[in-house]
Amino acid sequence: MTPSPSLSLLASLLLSLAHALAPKEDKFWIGDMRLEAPFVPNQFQFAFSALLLALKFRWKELRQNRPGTLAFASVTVAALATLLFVPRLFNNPPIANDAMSAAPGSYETTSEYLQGAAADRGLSADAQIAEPGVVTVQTETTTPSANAAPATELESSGDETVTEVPSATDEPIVTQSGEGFIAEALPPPEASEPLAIPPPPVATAPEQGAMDVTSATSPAEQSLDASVPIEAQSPATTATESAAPDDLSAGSSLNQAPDTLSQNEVGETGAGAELAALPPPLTPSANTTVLSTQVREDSISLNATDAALLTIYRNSDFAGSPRIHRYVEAGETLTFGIPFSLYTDNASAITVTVDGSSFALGEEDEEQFRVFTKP
Amino acid sequence: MSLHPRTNTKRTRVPSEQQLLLLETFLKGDGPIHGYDLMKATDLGPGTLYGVLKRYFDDGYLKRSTEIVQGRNRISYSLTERGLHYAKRALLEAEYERAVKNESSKNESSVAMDLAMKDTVEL
Repeated sequence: MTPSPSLSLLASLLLSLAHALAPKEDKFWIGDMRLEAPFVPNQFQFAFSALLLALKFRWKELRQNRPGTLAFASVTVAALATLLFVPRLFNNPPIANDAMSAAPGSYETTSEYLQGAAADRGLSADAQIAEPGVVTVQTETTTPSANAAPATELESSGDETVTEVPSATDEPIVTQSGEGFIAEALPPPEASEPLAIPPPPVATAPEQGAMDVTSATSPAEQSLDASVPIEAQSPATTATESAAPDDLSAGSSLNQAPDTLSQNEVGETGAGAELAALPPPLTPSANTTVLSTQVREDSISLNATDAALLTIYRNSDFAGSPRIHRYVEAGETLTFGIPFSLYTDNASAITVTVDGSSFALGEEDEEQFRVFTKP
Repeated sequence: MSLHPRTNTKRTRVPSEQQLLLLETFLKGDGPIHGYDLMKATDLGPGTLYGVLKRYFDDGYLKRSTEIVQGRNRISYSLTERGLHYAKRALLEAEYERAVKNESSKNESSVAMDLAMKDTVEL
């Protein structure tokens, strides 16, 4: 007597799965295949075909009898796939501070600058921004021109730092300047040499009027009305600025030789010309002495007692693009987290407070590279 | 949507060569045939074969019967009366279409031959 053929375990499992998946009215076909499977040489292939056939039956049954269920299942699968895979596509790692996309030699007025200025004025950074009396010229990334001369300080005797940029309008611009008004004078640009720096987008907009406000993040500055004089818009600073003996026009405050530069040209090149005066940021060479200061605190403040070129890197090795590269003025206070590294061309003008004690970084007009790290 | 969800318009189409081979196998066979024997005779895969069997069974062309082979239950299939008529008609139609196709190809070839002969004579 011939022994009865047997069914392998794997084929049996597949056929059981197929039987479970098949619709009720078609289950007996999978049962037929299960009964036939022991007589088939390739049982696994036969059972796998039964599984596919069961899925086909189920699909047909859903499509014909329960299209709503099929649609719901399709939407559910699509939603699950979206939830699982789409967030991974957009899950980019956060950009570190050191990797900020500023071009080398770029000029940035950052929130730290605002914080420093606000601390100097005894205000929070938000309050400083919201105060309409301070007008700052900001540009995100502007490459300074190599041919431009450094900026010259006209007057530096107080706390206020106001940099004014004349507009492209033909109206005369009159602003109040009192104690502490600091205007950075610029040399007249050569008429035959085109400026390599594109002007800030808002600075060239005629509708901005007398004051140039280019910060995209300071609504108070943007709310300045060009048609209204500055003193009418800035009651907080009018008290000190009204004592100014002279009315400085924007052209004269920014340009010591206004006769060579038209008002319109000043408006187009004002901020850019100021930035062009900055030398490119320096990094220490191999034989340069880099001083190091270890600080136990998480952040320290730098106080400017005189004008100085200050370059700050948010790391301890002067790597990457500088976070700040500009001339600081007397009275400015800048706070930075540890570690950071700095360069200044006037070490005596920068006073640092470390662990409760303040000291100047160095001698007058001494160029210095210094690194602040944690012990 | 059709009022009869089980109605499949694809069933009215002309049977494929493999389906015709399956029907021919049923006609030639002298009794019920098992699934594996049908697979061997028609060279169809299991999924395809049982799909066609299900379609013919739903249309009433097939009947199933159970028998015990080597101590195990086994299902065999055979044509019903309706299936027998359907199979004969389908095979006849297929043969007729094949003949028509051959005739047309013959005609085309004969026309081409006539034209060739004509050209030869004219030359």
